Amino acid sequence: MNLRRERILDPYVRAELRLALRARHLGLLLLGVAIAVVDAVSTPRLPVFALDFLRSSLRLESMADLILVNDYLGLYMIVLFAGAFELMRVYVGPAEARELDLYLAKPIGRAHFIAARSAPALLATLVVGAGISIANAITLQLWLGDVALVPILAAGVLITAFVLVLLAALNLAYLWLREVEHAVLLAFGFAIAPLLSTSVLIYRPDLFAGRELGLFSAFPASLLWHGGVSMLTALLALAGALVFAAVLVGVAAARLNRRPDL
Amino acid sequence: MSAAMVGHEVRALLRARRTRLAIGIVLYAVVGAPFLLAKPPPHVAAAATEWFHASDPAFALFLFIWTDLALNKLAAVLGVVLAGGIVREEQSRGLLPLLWAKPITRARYFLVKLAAAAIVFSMLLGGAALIGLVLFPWQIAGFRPVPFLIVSGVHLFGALFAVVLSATVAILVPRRLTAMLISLMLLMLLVGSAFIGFYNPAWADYAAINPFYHAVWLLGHIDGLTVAHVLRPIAILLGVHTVFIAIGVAAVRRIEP
Repeated sequence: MNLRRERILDPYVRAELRLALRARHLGLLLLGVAIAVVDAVSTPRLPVFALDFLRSSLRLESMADLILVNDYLGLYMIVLFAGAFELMRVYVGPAEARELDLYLAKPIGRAHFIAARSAPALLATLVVGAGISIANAITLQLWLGDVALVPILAAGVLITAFVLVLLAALNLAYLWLREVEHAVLLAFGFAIAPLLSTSVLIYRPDLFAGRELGLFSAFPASLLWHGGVSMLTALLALAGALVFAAVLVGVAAARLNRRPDL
Repeated sequence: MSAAMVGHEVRALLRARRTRLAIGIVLYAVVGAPFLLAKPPPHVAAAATEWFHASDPAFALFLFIWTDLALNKLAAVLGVVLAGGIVREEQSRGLLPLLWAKPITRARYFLVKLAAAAIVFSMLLGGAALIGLVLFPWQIAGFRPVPFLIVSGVHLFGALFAVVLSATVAILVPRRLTAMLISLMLLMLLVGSAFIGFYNPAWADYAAINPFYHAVWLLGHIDGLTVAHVLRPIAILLGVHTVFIAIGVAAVRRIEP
């Protein structure tokens, strides 16, 4: 039985993984590269007043930081929405199209179904995140010259890790939804929530008075403060995020197993 | 026939859970905007004077936060949610052969769905402005209702680009989720760079290719608003919408059931 199951499951997992990287991911990667190039070209040409505004409100110093803060925001948005839309193909999309009963009637366990469909989405997120991080580092090196590459890559890894955590939570929350449009609204909420702190930093810095630690929630500007993040920290965060994502995929599988209506 | 159909589609959208969720997000934005204005730091107040040349920088700053942080972000997501699945939703349910057999052209069906999405979108963003009109006089010192309503009204013409773009991309890109992702990414880019012509006036000509720049262009003329100031962006935006709708109409004729 087990052997037979293996033979049925392996091709399924392989089939899902083969679908992981598609033309749309290349498109998103190119968008990330375009943002990096436009940022590097246009930011130094902003008037002094606008640059000073960015420096004072986001507490940044060098031109590299002013360029990178927008690069990081672009990376975060692209990777998060890439993953969030990919994960809609796990449950919400099939549930809306009433295809879920059909999928679950196949000799594929529910846990395997969820895992086999979530893993490629998270893998695609990782690949796009890594690609844009490399593009950010190379672009800045090309335009500004003397720039350390490792901190930019480390920040990219950390942002990708953070997005993986958000996506794992989103994947679980999607199980309560039955329409793609609801999932889009929820993903938007997930994307915007971590950025609210930055709005507060720009417009209400008085709220951070006496709460210096709270300042670090001002994502993504805080990634550039105090010399940025180390690669070791970023890689540890990525490892932690992958474990967390695996656990939440397991929780999602358990939740689907308890659904009597399917 | 079309008016009745649009009415029916509007009622269906208003009953949909996605619209109720959208109302929640709209209320959150309306309540949150004044909170960010309570104590602007000096460099933010100076920016309002520098960018918008307003005699009342506090009010200009309020309009900036209102259009940039509240209305623009709302527009991007609501456009995709209300119009990003037009026609493709019916296609995924296998309803297109039935619909295309009815005595209604594909173009007209597309326009009916687009009109309903635009009406509900306008109700949501217009509703946000009307709630603001009631709340803001109590929360914002020096709140001026007339310029607020004019700026919000002109912005709505620009914001409707989110609906038009999402609907047209839905017709051009066969996979619904990919279409919605493309629309959302494009819209986030456009709303993210809406004010670039203010940050660097030398780029105003390039900024003019962005419909969301025209939606907020009025902020630079808030002290001496004239009818021409209001009509100029509206005329440009209606022209842009017409071009994109025409592309959608041309493309919907080629959709196979």
